[in-house]
Amino acid sequence: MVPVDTLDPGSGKVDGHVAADASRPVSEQVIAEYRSRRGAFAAGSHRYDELVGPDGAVRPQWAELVQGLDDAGRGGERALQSRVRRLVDDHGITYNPIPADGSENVAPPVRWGLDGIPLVLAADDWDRLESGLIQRSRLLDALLTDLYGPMETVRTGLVPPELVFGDPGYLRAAHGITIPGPRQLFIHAADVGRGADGRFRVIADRTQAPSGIGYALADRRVMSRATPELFRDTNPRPLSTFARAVRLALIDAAPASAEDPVVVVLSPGSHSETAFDQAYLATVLGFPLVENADLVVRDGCLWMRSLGKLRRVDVVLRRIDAEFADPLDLRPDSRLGVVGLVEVLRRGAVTVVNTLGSGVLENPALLPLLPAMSRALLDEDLQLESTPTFWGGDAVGLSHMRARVRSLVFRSVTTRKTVVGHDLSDDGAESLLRRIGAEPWKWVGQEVPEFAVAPSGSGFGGDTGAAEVGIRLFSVAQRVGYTPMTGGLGQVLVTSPVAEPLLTVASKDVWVRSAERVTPADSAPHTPPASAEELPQYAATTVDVVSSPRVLGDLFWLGRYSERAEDMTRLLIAARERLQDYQSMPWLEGSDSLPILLEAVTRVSGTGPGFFDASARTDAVAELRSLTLSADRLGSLAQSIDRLQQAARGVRDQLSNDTWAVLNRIDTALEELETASPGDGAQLAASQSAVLRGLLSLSGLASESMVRDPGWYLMDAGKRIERGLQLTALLSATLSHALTPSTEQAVIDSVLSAAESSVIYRRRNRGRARPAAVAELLLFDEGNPRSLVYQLDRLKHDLGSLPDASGTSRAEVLVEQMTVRLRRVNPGDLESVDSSGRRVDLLDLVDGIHAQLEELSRVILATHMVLPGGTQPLWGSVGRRAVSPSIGSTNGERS
Amino acid sequence: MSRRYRIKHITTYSYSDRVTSSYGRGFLAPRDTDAQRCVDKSVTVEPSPTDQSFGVDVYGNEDVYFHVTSDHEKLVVTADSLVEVDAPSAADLAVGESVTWESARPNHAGGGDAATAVEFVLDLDVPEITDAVREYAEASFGQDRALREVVVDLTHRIFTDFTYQSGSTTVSTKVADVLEARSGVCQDFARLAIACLRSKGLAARYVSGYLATEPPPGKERMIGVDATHAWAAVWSPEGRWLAFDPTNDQLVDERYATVAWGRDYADVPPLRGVIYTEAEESTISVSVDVAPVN
Repeated sequence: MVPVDTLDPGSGKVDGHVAADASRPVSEQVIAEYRSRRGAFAAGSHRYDELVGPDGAVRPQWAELVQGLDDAGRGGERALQSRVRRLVDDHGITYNPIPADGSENVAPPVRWGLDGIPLVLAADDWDRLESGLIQRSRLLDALLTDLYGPMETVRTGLVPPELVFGDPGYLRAAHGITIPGPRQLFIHAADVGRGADGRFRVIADRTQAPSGIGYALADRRVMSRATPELFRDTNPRPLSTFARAVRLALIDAAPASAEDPVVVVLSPGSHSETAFDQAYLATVLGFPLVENADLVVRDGCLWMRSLGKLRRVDVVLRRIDAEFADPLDLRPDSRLGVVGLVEVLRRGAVTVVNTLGSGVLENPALLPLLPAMSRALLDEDLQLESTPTFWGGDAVGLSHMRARVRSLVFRSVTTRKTVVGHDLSDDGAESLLRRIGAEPWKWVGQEVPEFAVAPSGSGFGGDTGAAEVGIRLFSVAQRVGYTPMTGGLGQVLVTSPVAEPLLTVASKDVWVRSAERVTPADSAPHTPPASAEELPQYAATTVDVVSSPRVLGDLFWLGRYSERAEDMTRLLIAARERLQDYQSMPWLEGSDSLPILLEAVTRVSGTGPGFFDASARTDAVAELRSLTLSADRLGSLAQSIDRLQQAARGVRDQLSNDTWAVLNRIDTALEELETASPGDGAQLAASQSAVLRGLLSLSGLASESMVRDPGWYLMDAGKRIERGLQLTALLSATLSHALTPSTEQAVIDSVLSAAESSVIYRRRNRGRARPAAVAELLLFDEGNPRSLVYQLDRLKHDLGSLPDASGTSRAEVLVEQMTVRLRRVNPGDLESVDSSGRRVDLLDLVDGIHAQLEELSRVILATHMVLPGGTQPLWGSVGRRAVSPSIGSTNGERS
Repeated sequence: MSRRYRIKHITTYSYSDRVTSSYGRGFLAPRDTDAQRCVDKSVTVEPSPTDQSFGVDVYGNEDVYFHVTSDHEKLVVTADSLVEVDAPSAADLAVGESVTWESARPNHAGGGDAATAVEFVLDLDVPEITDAVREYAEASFGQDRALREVVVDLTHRIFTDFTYQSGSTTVSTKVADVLEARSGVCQDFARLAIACLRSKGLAARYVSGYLATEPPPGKERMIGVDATHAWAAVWSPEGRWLAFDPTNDQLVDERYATVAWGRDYADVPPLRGVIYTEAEESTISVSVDVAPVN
């Protein structure tokens, strides 16, 4: 056991008594465990201890939390940790890792890490942080205003000109752009660590397009549900105040001419690193999440595309880096920007926050200048200091860098790249110093940031351990001043050796205590019991809903893929059940139906050769398993689910939160199958049923939890088209030829089961199955929601509900033609066969309608989901760019 | 004594297929300077844009923005301007005469204009200053030489050492490649001169504009006529910029009409834009006419 005292010797150490009134008795064991883990850090250097004070007692702000963990008993932390993980999955909180090789390959999203133990901050600690953060926001705002204005800070020598003119975040095109109101810096984030002396220091300021607010809000939502008792007892200050402030500030940032401002959140897309953060923030704020393809500049204004109409946009919360915001006036190679945006901004017709060019404030060489700048610009001393940083353009700074090459972290001012002195070989250190010597102004050296140690449940197998923690703080500009988030995005860091960039293993909710509240018992009569923190819910008004071609495309495909996945699952289940019936007992009557069914699976899913290949028939379970599980196999169930999830992520802000919990259950079911042995038929059955249940839940959410707007109608149209396609393909593959009665009986049983119509069929038809009766039920029964005529009715309604419906549009005419065709058929005729036994009339009908449905899908895509054509520079075809929907335009069609 | 020019600058883009939307920004009309006044200007775009406006950039250059939304296979941008340019004043003729080039390095401790001139000392973000550039510059920068003398010498050396060869380079040709090939066009020579000056810590800027077409009596017709022209300028501690034309081996005078300046060509191209089209090919033709007006 290592002593936990982290204060410097002689700093007024108190005797190791537990302050009797400050905390109730705590579990010696939990603390002892923490101490022993914590000891690993204490060995080499001092660290501030967030949990245990210099007197050896648990700091009062942690009392309730420690008590709570103690009450939960051994294993309580593990249980908490797994509840947190489940809630994270249910909320679909993810992170998209950026491929290490720098390629544009899209990696699948990974689960967001959230430590089950929050970081608790005492009221007085927070007061210092908060007032320091606000001052720093004001200071950076004053600097930003000056740099894109009179540049007095440069002219008077306060800021060396290289740091502005040589900074990649300084955008010349941003001159002449101002945002309404007194402040130019909208959202400011600061990464802070706490030194051994207990002081907070800022490692870096984030001003370009800070990420993390969405994650912090989501973390809070999860934590307040995962541990309602601890949450209630500790009663942290809410984050919802900040969310409200951001919303109001965005509305307030609109140009004066906007009467009822339309605000959008501009995302680089659902594959970007922090796509969840962007989408979740948009959802909480109740503003639409858009991508550049949703926006267009015309007539000196910014517009959002919506069903062929344009809707004026007044405020953009920017999550793309500023230099990518407009390929006309900024980086011409940008694929994320909106052409002409800079011009609209220069005319003051739209507000973009953070304003273009705000990234210049992230220059690390500004850090050592802040104290002097604070005195000059604010006439105040800087409260929240920075991690000591030295600039090479300054003689004293340069000599520090030379003398301490091993103990500093070097950052390039121009590329923002980082070199850790500690990791360098002798040659490496020498060559770095040569590079710095050649252009000293381009480099800073920063001391290795110090972080406090706090209890953590991450990375220790679920046991409470100790880890270094950092915090990202946020503030937002309002007319009256900066409003901070009372809390932040806590970061559990990879512990020594020095890692750079700082590697975060998990996030951590930050619980800030109120000053007045001493113990829950004292205040209980006055305070209503805190419940799970509800974020304000701002329903997007219908006019705000984005119905851009991109969004409509994603919703249409969401409808198609979810239906395809459901139908595929039913067919796979029907085939697997037949396989079980007959595989071991081929002498049973009707066993001839097995090859017909298996080949139907191959044909309907378009996964040939499949069961047409003899080897697949001999190991049919393996093929069925592969069709369930192999996401890289076109036509497989897993592939449909994958596409369905991609489409869902593209329109995350339009879907109910429960969607993610359902999708997560489907993933879990497939994962369980993945880990089971290949021959495990029971697991195959269990996973298929679980997937089916999930897909049914999705259908339920779509029908009961979504507003009927144009996006919904197109989603439903996608679902209806797909169901019609699947049904006609199934009938064509199974009923094409007359069969012996027993075989036909077995085939029809499976078809009815795959088409979810067995029960009703049996109720209406007794005795032997007849193709005509099947056709009656699956094609012509207007009351059967699985029938073809039902799909056509719904399509007619869906298309007729779109704002541009005319009754004579191409799509509506196609639906009408199919309806008429169906109406003219006499079900009895469908049993007729030609000389070779083919049911020509039936095939003619189902194959014909199948082709018409495919045509309908193409027409809908072409009418509602055509994105602007490729753009290219005016002077030639270099940098040619093709805008395509996030899911391939028609490659979902089977050939 | 000042001179007046009527300048007509027509740019025609032809595409192999329909263009449905075209956004453009251009620096096409002379700006106002201490020695120059743009009396009249117009920019006309065919087909007619649905949106067009004039603006001013960070360096005080006037730019034009347009958005054409009607389908077209040909885009014509015509800039028509009337400009009055003064002959160099006595003060102009003395810029850099009595300062050494070493003392012309903008020293940020000096503050004011010197501090903002530092913007033009920094190399571009895809660096242009190579060892070869430093080496080439060396000969002109004798110790304590007057800035004006250094500039005249560098201008003359580039004129002598390099061959004007139309079409040998593009807008993206690197200075190092020009240095290697020993040939280029006005823009390349301006950029080479700028890189040389910056390699010595001096502030140099890129200037785009026009050169009068009428050859002075008894002199040969000069290169750069009937086209847009480019030259360079260096900052001098008097707070003035000394402009020079390495393509024609002379300092800039009343025959030069300045359109815009920046750190590099990319800051002030005559036209840039983004079009929406499936077209695979496009051709550009430019015609410039600088006519003296009495």
